[in-house]
Amino acid sequence: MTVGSLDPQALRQRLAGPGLQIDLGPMVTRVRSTLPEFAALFPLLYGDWPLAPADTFTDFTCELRPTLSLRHAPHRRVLCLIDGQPAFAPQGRGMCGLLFEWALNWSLANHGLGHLMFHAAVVAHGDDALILPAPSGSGKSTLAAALVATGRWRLLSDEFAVLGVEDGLLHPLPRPVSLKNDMPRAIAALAPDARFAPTVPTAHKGPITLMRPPAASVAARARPARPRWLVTPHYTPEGDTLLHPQSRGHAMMGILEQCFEWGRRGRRDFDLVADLVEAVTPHTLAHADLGRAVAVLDGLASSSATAAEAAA
Amino acid sequence: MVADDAALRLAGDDQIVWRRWQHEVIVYHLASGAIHHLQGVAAAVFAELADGGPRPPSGLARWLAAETDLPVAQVEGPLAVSLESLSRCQLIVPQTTP
Repeated sequence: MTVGSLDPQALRQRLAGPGLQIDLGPMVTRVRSTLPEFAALFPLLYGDWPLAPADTFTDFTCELRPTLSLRHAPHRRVLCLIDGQPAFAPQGRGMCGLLFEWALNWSLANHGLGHLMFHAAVVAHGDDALILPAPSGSGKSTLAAALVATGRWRLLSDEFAVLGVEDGLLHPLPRPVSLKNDMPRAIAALAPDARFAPTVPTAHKGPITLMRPPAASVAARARPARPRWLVTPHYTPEGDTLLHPQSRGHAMMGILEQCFEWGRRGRRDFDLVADLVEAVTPHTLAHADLGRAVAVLDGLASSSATAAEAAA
Repeated sequence: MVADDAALRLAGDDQIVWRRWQHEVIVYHLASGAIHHLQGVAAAVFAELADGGPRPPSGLARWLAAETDLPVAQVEGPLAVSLESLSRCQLIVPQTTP
């Protein structure tokens, strides 16, 4: 049974009562909320995700609760609790979807045991992964969404690269993609069927719109991909689209800068990242035009496939 | 001019872990948690100590001069800077006899 298959009333009751459990892969989360806004938003963004059995062990519980505040109209703000503890400052109700994503990010970054995680978007061409590691504002989410919109790539993850400690593979975590400014319009032009949550204005990052992950990507959530390409994007509004080879040392330093809980496993973490860097072809990508950037990255995959065929 | 000519070696395997690619080395100092990205002379010297074993600065200067086709006197300065940097980061240590 998927989140989307629940009728709206049953979904509201479950959210307001025992909560809904979703197996994200690295962890199982339970979400609870009495907010009608969240009950409407959750199936829009997570409709293709299956519900975990009720007796599944839950790693953490996220609750989105309306608050009363004398300085604001009653019930107009929402408090996010992780395992019963307030996690962030109360936000407007329109932020409930983002608050849930932040709660997931916080919990995954701190408790994603069995995986090494770093800040990156990851997509896969077949079972070959393209890693886009970069800080916020580099355009990695937009690039990932655009590649997925072509139908040739599947979404593994937006915020987190989830690297298996045991297998060195990239594990899917196809959660909603966070798009800034007017990027949803650009993605909608590429994929008319794409679905978006209402745009939310934020103080630090401007308007943010969450995009529902494609059903095919969610369906393939148990299918990890091997590291193949690593492209560090830089959004350069006035520049050309330029793909340049990057040294492995710089690529590794770039990943280490984006790691969460780096070094928890000592030299094992170091070897994991070094092995990943040795397995990929590292590049940097200066990009301004989304269509050109997609063509360049498609070309990277095509040329690799051609080279592999020639070698065979 | 390298004043102290005691032989130098890499820090032990229990202190550092590293990965080398062409012209660069990434070193993880386990105790401090620091990551070092070595390039240029520092990377070359680190790799030479890894491959060739302990060596005094004078020997490293002769090796570097041969590698760069430069007079020994010309490489001693950059070499001293790199050795000082590697030593400060505890990536190389004096070779001690038991």
